[in-house]
Amino acid sequence: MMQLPIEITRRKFLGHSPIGIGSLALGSLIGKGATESNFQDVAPRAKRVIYLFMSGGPSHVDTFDPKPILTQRDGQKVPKEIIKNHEFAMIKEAQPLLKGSHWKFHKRGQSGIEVSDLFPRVGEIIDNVAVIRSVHSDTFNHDPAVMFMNTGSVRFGRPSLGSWLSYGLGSENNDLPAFVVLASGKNRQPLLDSYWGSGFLPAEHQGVQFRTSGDPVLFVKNPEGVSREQRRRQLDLINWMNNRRFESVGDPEIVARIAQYELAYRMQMSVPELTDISTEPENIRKSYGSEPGKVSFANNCLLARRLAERGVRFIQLYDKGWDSHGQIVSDHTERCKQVDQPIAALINDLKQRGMLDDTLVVWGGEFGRTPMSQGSGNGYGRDHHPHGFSMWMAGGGIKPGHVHGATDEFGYFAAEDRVHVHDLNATILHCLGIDHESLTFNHQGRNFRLTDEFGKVVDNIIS
Amino acid sequence: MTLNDPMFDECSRALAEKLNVYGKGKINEGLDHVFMKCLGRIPDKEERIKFQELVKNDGWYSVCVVLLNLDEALTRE
Repeated sequence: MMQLPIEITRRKFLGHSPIGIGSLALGSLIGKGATESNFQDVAPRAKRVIYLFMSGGPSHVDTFDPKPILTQRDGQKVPKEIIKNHEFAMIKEAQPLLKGSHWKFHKRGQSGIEVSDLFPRVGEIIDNVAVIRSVHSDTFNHDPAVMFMNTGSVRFGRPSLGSWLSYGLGSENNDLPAFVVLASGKNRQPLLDSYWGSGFLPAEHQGVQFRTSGDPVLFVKNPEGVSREQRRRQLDLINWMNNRRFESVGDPEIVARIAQYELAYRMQMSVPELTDISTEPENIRKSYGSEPGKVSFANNCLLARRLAERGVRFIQLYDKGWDSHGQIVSDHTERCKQVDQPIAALINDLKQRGMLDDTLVVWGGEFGRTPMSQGSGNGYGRDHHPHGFSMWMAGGGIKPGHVHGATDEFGYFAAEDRVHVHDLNATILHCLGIDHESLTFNHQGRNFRLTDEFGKVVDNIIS
Repeated sequence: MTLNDPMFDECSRALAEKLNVYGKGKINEGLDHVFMKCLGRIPDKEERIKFQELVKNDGWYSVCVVLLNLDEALTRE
């Protein structure tokens, strides 16, 4: 067959463009550990992040933001001027009714931060935490809101926070991905791969989902009947062929592919040891409430600590089932029973190992829930609420036992020291030593960054 | 990861079965056939040497695994 002498494909053209991504040395992306980052321009306080994401939206007024006026005016209409021009995701009434919290709040720890009875164990470790009561987001539906929290954009296609960190800081462990995702909880909204996608960043920066039952990682095990030696011979030839192609077309995605094949090969050895939490001492397993082999948030928290110990940069735990439109009392009770003890155990465990100093722990969801009820009677719930809600951070670089910002008296709007999602992400990057304005990637003719054109570091919660 | 994806594994096995008609002495013919099927071209000299060795070691299955997982073969992902 005759071959065209010059084969200019779109990929080839891009690979040879002046940006010169294609000229990156192959070796720099394969089999190398943590390198000096070009993006770390602030002194880093944390080396890694464990992000506890309560998917569906936990209610702020029932957990970390006490609003006594809701109890005093329980059943009364919300003032008209507050909800003027506001739409709700589900609530249909023109003037819905205020709803006091079912749970009592208590001052906890030496800091005296008020936490509700939903989180008794987190209350015990609250002195390590900075609660932000003034977070606000731009959007009130689940998918765009989760996407926004993770990628800084409501639309598909942008890299997620973990991918940016993998790209900006690299990995500290050759045998594991820099970004690992763990999921638990009740099936309500599906979790989309794009929440941990790498967007336009090279594919090796995307999050890899690990599971705590069955195969820990899908498609890492060799197919039946394929030996490790046979796979090695296949890989050697694939790499040889891909390298030749890289030399002729210069497409950086080929480098990413070679790196991923090799990482998967190494993960065949590293992952089984990592995910076997039955090797943990019984007192540790008990403290988390972990039962090996089960899919649970407790197991994921314990696994998160093991991943953190092995140098994984960004560990994100999604717990599903927080979307409580009806039956919020039983729903939130059930979720908190699953997450309260493991979260406290994780903080204590990290602290005992001296790892809390350089691990940033983030807790939150895509939005809060309305101070007004949705529905009435025993089956009442709360609707989606992006205008003001709570998140918290602990560990590397964070001021312990601190409350930042406040919502208005009804818990409706973030009122004092407002913290937008972009501010939150800028702050997370700051703790890892990254100026959010300088972590950029050139794509389609312009530089992109996680915080778009916005974001201000919340200095008040930095220790 | 296409490499361990059950679909890629099954495709490699099915394709390898068809190549079993190319026994000893017909390996070059088989390589031309499978290269054409997967990449739309025949192997060059260096490739031919490497792939002949792989057929001898591992049989046609490994050849198919390698070819189907090449950047050159994967155009959409």
